[in-house]
Amino acid sequence: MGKLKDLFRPKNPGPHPNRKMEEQLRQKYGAFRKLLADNQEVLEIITDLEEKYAGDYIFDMQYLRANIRKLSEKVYSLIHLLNEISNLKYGELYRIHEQIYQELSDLLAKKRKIPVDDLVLSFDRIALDKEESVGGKMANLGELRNRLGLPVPEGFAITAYTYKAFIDYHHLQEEISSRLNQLDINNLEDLIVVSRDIQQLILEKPLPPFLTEILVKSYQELTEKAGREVRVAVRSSALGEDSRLSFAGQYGTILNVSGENIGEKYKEIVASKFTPRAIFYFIGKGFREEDIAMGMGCMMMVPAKAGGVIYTVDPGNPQRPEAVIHAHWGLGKTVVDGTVTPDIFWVSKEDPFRVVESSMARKEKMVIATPEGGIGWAEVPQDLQEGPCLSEKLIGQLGRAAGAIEDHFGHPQDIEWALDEEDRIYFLQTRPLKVFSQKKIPSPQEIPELSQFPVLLETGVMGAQGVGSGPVFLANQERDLVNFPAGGILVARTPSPKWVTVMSKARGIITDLGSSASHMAALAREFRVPTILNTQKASEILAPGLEVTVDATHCRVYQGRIEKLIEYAEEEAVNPFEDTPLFVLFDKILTRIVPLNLVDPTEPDFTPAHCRTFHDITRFTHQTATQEMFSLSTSPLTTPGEALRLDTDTPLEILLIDLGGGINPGFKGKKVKLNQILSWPMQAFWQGVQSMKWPGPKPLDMKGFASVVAQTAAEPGGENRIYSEKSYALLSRDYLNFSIRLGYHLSTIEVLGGSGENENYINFILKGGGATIDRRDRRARLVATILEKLGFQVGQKLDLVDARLIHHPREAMEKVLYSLGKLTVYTKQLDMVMFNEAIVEWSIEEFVKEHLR
Amino acid sequence: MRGKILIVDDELDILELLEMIIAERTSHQVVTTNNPLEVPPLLKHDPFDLLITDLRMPGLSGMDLIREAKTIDPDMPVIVITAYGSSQSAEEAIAEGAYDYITKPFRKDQIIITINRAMEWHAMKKELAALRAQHRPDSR
Repeated sequence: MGKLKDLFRPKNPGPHPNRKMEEQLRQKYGAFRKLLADNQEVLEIITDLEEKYAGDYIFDMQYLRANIRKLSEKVYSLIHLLNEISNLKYGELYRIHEQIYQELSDLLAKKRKIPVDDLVLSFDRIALDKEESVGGKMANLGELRNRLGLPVPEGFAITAYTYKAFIDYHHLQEEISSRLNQLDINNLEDLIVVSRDIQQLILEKPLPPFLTEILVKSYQELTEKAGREVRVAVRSSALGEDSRLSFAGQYGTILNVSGENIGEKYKEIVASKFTPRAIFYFIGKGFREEDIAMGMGCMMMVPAKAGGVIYTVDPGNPQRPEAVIHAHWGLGKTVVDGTVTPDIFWVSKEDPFRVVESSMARKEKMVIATPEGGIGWAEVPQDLQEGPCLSEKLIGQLGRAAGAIEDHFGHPQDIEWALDEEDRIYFLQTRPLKVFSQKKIPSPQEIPELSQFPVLLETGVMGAQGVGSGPVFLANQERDLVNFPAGGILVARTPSPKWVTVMSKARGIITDLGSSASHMAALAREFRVPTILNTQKASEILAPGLEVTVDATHCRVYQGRIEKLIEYAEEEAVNPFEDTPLFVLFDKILTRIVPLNLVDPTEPDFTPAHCRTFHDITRFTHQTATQEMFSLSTSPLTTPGEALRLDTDTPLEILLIDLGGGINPGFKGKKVKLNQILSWPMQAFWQGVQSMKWPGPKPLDMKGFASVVAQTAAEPGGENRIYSEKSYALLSRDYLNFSIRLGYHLSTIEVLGGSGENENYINFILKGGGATIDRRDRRARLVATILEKLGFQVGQKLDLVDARLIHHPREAMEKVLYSLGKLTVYTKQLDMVMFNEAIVEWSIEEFVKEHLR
Repeated sequence: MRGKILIVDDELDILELLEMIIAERTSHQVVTTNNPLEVPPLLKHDPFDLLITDLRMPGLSGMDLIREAKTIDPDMPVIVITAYGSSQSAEEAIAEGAYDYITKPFRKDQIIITINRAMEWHAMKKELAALRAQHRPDSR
């Protein structure tokens, strides 16, 4: 008999199809958990990068490279995992990742191609957009002349492309490279020899005819404009940060050069690229030496009777509102070098550009351009030694220009100027001025005034540093934001990227829950809104309309407006490093990483194609993976041959699929009792369900009968038909994905509660029903209202309720799940009896009174 | 107290940031180089109160530099900064005579505190040496 049975048994049947499906579900769940962990890591790296960017840290390229590599790998992993969960629906993200990664790699490798341009550009063709061609110094000068309309001596710039043309003409690249290739930079003697050889090689080569020609022509144009033979000032204009050391201060400016000497000076500037230090740097760092080019500027020499510098902010006292002018007779070079004691004038940068204070120096010697070329010392005439070297009118003019230049560049500037014999001012150079805050930001204990203000909150973590003041605005839902006042302090229970809509108006954000690695914290830093998270109780303590001051740096909220603190914070906000090449590069890098363009998942642009940064990809994968997981149990499952049944008194048929650790491993059999379930979300939810009496069919009014479906439901025996559909619950120890088909509606609940609150969430959707749409809508509103009371962020449209609760600790989530279980039973078929609005109100009241307290 | 600090790191960025922060927060004078081979001649040419060095550099490593510096001026404190922090290299650096050891990235405050402490330590050492010299029997 046994043998006969064996004949009909299929040979090697393979895994049962449902086993396979369950295995797939488990894999997806595994991928999802990994995705959440990677998501957290990505946000932590982004937070760390932003922290370093704020200017309190000293770091190097190694830090940037290592973190960006790690970030890129993690974001790639997110994409991979999302595709694993979704069956390769989001392949497009790989391409976007590759593109961003490539841009970041290029930035980090500091690849710099010399742009093809004219050999020489006259000053009227130069502005900031030509920086890559002519270097920063000349680009700034062009900006002054052509965008601000300020007087700059006539002149021209020799482009970086000319450098390449010069090297190529003499085939110098090969000779330079062969010398550099043989060099051991660890041998100082060799380094010095190679440096000298290469410099010699450059200096001994004649200028190519095409270069001589264009220099002669450009110089002739200058003399025509001047109407006489002129001397020029030659200024090296380095391209980019890579050649910072190459000048070593020696070739910054060569003054009073005659026309025929320009070519020679040009070669000196080119040769200066090969000082021992510069060679050591670009070889040691693996840069392509040929990509590092030299630019140079030639400008008409101003035969200055006086000159000097303007600092648009007094570096010695940055709090002063005035610009400070240092001036001396003769060329301003002496002031810049510090070889003379200058007159100093503090002048207002605003109309009427008044001189506020001055300090006169005795000026006995000055430097002048000598007739034979070059510069030399001369005696200041006796009658000019004591008095000021600038009139009030001229000081006012300089003050006006200082204000305009600072406004234009958006940053304090260090400006060189010269005054000619006819009292005409010329600007020779402008560059960012490094201003250091003199005062260290005091802690709350160090500001005695603070004791007058009650401290309302002293808990939480900093999301974005700074201080802000304004009236408290409590927001529970996104729709509340419509009334958010400009200058308000947003107080909310949970952080949400949706709060971004008011970030440009907010002076502070405080939440009860959340961490500094959340998407919202990143947005707050981007918008520079002082933010405190995880205060536990801000939404309870802070009354709407109350004027408060938020010190996010020290995680304190005071009652009232504290001007002193706001002033300190304004000083604190200055990052002294922001103009350094490393931070300029960092800034460019962060634009590919940090900005969050995808905020609202319901918006049509929430798609892979709209991901422009790593943060966008992270947000998209996180949100989409959650949605994919959410829909898992509602996707069509075949007859669950192997799935376990929940042993329940309700007429529902619940099938359980264990994703790992959800059911007692020792359990044997087909029907699982609740006490065998180890999944705490399922426990909490189902205990809620069981605590309610299972209601029978609802009484219907005549209108209710009009609905065919409703009629069916009310038929004797209809109840049994309604529950004939199966509901699936996917479980693990701290995960639940449960779709409950209660006849004509479907509610899905998904819960994740890990070790950290940051990832915890409950998603809930309710859709459908058996009654007419108006009744279903009323029930949806009822459910939505109760969910809001439970702390959910809720969206409702007709009979669809879509709710989300995030960042709550496990104990709080258990309570909410218990109530959710009750609510599920309570609202079963409640749509049938939603005759009018009053019933909605009454039912809410009843549920809250009977079941929530 | 105004002292003189020599900083060597092959990363120009670190040199620039360190120079800025020391200028902002202290009155010390700073000399920088990106080439560790230049350090011994610089130290021989001019007395410095403190050497701050990176650990991994082409040419001469931070460890080599500590040894070199100790032969030139045994009392000059050396602070080692490195991106490759490990307890082993820290122990090694301290064993070679480094005053302190800081891992990159570091807070501005942290380096300033370490610099000031090292400078005070150096000043005390000098004072002690001077006192000892005064009280030596042959100086009476």
